[in-house]
Amino acid sequence: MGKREIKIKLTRNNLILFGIVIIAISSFLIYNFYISSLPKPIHSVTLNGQVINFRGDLRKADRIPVYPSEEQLYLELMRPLVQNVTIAFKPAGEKENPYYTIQILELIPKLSIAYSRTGLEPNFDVPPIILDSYENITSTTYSPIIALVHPIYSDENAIRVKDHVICLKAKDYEGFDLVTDKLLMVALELDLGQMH
Amino acid sequence: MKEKLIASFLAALTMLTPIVSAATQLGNYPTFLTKVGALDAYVVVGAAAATDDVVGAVNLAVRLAEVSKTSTTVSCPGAVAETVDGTLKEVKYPGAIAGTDTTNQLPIEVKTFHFSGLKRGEVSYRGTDYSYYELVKLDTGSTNFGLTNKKGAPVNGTIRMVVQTGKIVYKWRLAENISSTYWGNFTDASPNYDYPFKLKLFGQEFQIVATPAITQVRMLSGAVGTADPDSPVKSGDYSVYCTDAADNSWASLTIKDATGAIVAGPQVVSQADTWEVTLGGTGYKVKLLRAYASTATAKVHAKVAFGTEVDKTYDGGSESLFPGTTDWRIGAEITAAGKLQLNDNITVSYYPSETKYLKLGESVKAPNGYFEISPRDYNTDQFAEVTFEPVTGVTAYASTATGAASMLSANGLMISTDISGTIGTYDKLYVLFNDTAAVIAYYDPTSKKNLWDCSGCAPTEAGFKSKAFDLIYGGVGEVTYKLVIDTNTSKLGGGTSSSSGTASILNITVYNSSMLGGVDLDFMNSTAYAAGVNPSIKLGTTDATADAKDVTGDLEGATQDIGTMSVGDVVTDTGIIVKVPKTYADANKVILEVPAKSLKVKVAFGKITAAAAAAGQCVQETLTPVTSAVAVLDSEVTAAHKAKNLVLVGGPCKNTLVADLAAAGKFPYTCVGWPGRDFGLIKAIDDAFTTGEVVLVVAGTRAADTRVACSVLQQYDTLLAGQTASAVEATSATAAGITAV
Repeated sequence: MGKREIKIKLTRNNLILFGIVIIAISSFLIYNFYISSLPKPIHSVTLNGQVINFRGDLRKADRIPVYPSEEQLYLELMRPLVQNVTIAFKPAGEKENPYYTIQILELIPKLSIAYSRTGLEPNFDVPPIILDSYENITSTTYSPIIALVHPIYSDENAIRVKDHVICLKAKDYEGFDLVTDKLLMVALELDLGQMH
Repeated sequence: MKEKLIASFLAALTMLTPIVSAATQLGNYPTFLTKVGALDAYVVVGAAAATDDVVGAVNLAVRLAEVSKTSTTVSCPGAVAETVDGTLKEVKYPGAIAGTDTTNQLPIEVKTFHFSGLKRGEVSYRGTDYSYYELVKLDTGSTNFGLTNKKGAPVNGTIRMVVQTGKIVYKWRLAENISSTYWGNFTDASPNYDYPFKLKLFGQEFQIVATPAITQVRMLSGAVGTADPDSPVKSGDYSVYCTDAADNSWASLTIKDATGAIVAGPQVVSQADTWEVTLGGTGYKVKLLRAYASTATAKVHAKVAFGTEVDKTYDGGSESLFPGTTDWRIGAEITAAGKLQLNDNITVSYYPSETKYLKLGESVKAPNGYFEISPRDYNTDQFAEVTFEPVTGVTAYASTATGAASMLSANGLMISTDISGTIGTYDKLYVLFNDTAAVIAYYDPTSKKNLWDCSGCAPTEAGFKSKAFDLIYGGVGEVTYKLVIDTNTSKLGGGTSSSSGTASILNITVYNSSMLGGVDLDFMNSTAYAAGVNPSIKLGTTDATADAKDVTGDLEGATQDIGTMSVGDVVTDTGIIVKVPKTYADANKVILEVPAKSLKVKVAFGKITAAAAAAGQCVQETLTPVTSAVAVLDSEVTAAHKAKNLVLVGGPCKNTLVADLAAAGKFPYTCVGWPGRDFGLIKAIDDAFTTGEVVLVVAGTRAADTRVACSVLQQYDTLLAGQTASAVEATSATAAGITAV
């Protein structure tokens, strides 16, 4: 029995259309695979059975550099000698000041959780320090200062610790969230590997 | 109109009751913002804020912090029991602590499932996440890691946890292959300083730079960072600065102390070399990993590792100590040298200088308090004491009837207990002898007489031969022992090797229900038998002051002379504890402890919180974290936010949500319609955006008015108590300054 041949006639336009459809479907599938393979942002963690939410993506926050080291940051914040923690900021104008408010409302309550976990009970000084300049701020082992540096005063997203002053420096609004979250991650001893 | 923002709300939480009234009353503040004892609200910050308003935000934040911790003063009912976060097993002794008996042993591999302090998760390396987990491998050999009650020192029949070297091994295990693109073949000859692999052992960071052999790992430790002329890398009180450098070649380094004084350097260090220096009597090392100058910062930089140990190959040997410890050694179990692959382990093994024999309550503690393993206590604290001691001049009767036959003023042995019902149905037994007969009697609390145990029988010259009683803690214990009393004659004479007369003894044995193990006591007449003379009972089988076989018991399956052991309570294999005698002396009194249940030892793995004695008042603190990212800008608010309670900070000119409410007629003032007078305003609005949820608006005309509103909320328990209105205007933080509107 002879083989039967099937011939399909395609016009040039149909062939081009067919190719476009194939490419579009392939692109869609590849894109979906790429998207699904990307690490998902982490905005919450479970700590001792309690869910704690954060404004920023903790994966990104984890990459915020800390100078000279995360260990030094932890030490400044969490050493048993700490008695008072003071917030400091340099006013940024009415339109930008709310970003300070946001970070303060994030920072203090969650830092308090970190202190509760370790049995420390330092006070948060009220009122905060209003700065004219971020230069030459120093403090003591007993009273570390957390200085919030608004994006209009900073060109980096980083945490710098020096002379018992912890500078949270952000170059944009997202960075402001991330440096705050990074500080909280260090204080709460959050290991990104534990987060799901 | 100078409308101002910010306010603070207080939230010292107590047990809260849902509000059911039609309109939210400010007198119920802050209850209406909480659910199940925790804050259930977002704080929406307006688009503009004066500096004073940010200052006010600190007040607000501090109050929110108080939400996270509820303190309650309670009466302390008693001591707070010890708690174990991890795994606690009742382990049989003698035997292995770890094994496959999940009921009575710790698991061979302790993982996160057993103790949440052991982590599992992902580590990020060059943009990719790799799974890992921690475990602790426990040896299953009873002499390696077990419970023992052996005779020899230092155990001496007490319960100890024996731990040999290398039998507790912590492992950080990689659960995936590291991409060969990034981790090719890094050995001693080619360590990967540019992209070391970071991991935490016992929570302490290390950076793997090579796996030189299948049992070796090379890691950076100490403080690893980049120093420049202004920013140091610190280790303890010392800081390393980089003052000069040449790209990928060398750096000039200086070390300062806590006062800023230079204590070492400047020292030119070649890249990959280590500068060793003694600081304050302690040896420090500075390893130069990379030197470079940056055009971006116009500074020189030195990436260094700084500490007492900085770059080391660990092989599990005596030189591979975990930093800060003397008995934990770092090693590796690597599939292929140079690689990092699935199931590769970085290990830290417990290596005490000698075999440890830990008492109940003592611990093997991992570095950094990561976990501890400890034999805590017995599985019961209920023990009945059973005392055996010679008595003289005891009279026992055949019955309670007047004139019943009796044995007058006999000598013998009294067996008594402090827990009623432990010895058969009796609390006190006598084994009595005179020169012609022997009898067992018991104390009858009703007649207050000692009555013959064999009712109606008479003492016989042959004695009672053998008599057994159940020995059960209070008569209700879970384990039954047998107390067996034997004698071969009523005419109790001297001991078997004594010169004092007829060989005869009174033998007391305590068995378990299988008639195994237990304790054996022998009593004798210290003088030769003589007609008309009652025996003089003493402990032992010879007339010597101290017999090796006064008391014997089974320890680790072998009968041992407990009388020669001079320490502590001796725990026999059956669970019977020999409390007295404690020394090899001329003792005649024996006290045994009978446990209420089959004796085991509670062994804990994890974190142990010590029991606390309690007295008077205790402050009980409950952690109720602020579980939401509580602060959002009005521009960030979504429908999900609006589905919750909200605190809107700022009036209609600065907070768009307040403006929306004003436009909808739910808030009295629009931006242009704000009254031309100075006041603070606090207003609760029900069902503002979502049915059943409350919006609290806090605003003020000026910053000073905002402060007034803050103060009112801060003193809510006095200034807002009983306030039935849903809105108040405040011109001062006093009762007179507050007007319901």
